[in-house]
Amino acid sequence: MILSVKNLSVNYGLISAIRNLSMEVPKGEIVALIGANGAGKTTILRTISGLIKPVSGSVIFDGQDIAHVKPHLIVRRGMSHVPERRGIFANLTVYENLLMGAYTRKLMAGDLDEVYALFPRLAERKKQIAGTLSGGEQQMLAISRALLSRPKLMLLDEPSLGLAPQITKSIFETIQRINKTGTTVLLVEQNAQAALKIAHRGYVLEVGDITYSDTSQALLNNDVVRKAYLGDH
Amino acid sequence: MKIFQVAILLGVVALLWGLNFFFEENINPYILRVIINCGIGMILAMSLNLVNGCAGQFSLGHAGFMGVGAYMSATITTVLNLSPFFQTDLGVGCAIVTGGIAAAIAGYLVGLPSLRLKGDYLAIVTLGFGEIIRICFLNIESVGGARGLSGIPPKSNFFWVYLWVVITFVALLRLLRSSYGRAILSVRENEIAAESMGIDISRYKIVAFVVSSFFAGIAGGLFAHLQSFIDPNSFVFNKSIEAVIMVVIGGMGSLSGAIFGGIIVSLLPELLRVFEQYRMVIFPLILIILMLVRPMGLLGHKEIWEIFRKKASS
Repeated sequence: MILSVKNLSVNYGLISAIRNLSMEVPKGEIVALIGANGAGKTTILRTISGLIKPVSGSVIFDGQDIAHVKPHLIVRRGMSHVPERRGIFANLTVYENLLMGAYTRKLMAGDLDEVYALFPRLAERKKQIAGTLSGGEQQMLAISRALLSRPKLMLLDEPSLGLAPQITKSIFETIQRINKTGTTVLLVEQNAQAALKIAHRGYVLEVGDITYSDTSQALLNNDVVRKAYLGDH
Repeated sequence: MKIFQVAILLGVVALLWGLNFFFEENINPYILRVIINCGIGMILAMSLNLVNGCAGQFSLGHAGFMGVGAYMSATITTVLNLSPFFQTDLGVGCAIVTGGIAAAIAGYLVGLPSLRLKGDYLAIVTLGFGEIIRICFLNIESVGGARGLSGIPPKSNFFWVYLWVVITFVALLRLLRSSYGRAILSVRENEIAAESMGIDISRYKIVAFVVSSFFAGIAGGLFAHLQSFIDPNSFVFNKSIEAVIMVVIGGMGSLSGAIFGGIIVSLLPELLRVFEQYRMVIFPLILIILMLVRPMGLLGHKEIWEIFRKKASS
């Protein structure tokens, strides 16, 4: 297991958002965390990457508890987080955004080429101000930027948000390609269908609790999950 | 490359030295004084731009740090009577740098607790600290208290002020173009994303604040040794607002914009003297019109050379 979350509880002020949640991400897999609005998906991701501190429980990453490590230090341990709504640096150029991705280490000559090979569109637009990119291109930029810190584990928060189905498909295919090169991926999605198609394993989250966890194939065939999340009647 | 840079540096120093002589002989002292004031305005604007424009942390206490620099340097040259060295050009220069360092330390102490806050709250807290600094000077008898401090050697001239303008400009430009500078910009752009890139955002906020305070202190020192008299009223809240106006007019986050902002806000009130009592009606009107026409400030986020390069290529 590259990541295991044990008995995690997170509060916002007095309101409890996550209660006693446990989940595991095996090395080399894509794990999807699906659930409706307000279920706590983003909260979990932010707690794992250290942006929010849990009330109790532990987050074991690569053998060490990182639940109370500062977020910028967690990045150095090999985890990178693509935040919700992409969080690109809108007033900087595409190139500058990518440079920030490699902030924690020395940028090697071939690093940017690798990213440009994954997303040729970014190479065409490297001098453009990032805020003027389309939604899909911004998502590509956010993923590339996270990739440049050479993560062992990549957290993706709603990569399909606001994207056309065609672009969502191509982004998900790229995520699969990234995974095949050895990066473990934890994916949070509302678009359960798309997420489970590429994932090895899935967790279904309902208001702060995990209700189902299984291989993604089994979840895709589970009647309750199909009714609630996959639009099957 | 190194030799080239040294040559440019010497050229700039020589040019400023020459201009200094030329101005002192040939133009009227009032106009020269206005030009020098513009220089101090530029340093203030460029330094505040680093915090308000680049790091995106809205500070309203810049006059306080300017005051620390002014009082610290004036204390060394005037109050302490250490040695005649501090009456010479070089000695005053050293005192001004010490003032800058004192302001940087003050910036660190103020920044540490306040930069945990955001937006309006940060503005209010820095405003408060700015006033606290001023009230401290008001109550320290050895630096004159409310009477102010007079007899400061008037050593700031065109040469020294504009040398500091060049130093501030080059230092901040180099800072902004380094990975440090990009980290500071990314804090403004998106704090959460910056943290997920591995950037220690509180550290970079403090760095921006300390560097900015240092140059504000330098501006204060130059100001003290220009006026040869300072009192706590020289560093009231209005002075901070003036610095913010310079940054906003020039364009938040634009270093060259800050230079224009510094010039405009220092120069306009003087140019408008022909309107006599209506001066302070017309000045804000011009600012309002400017903001309506260019809400992003004169240059927006861009630097002036970027705008020209784009024009030339298209």
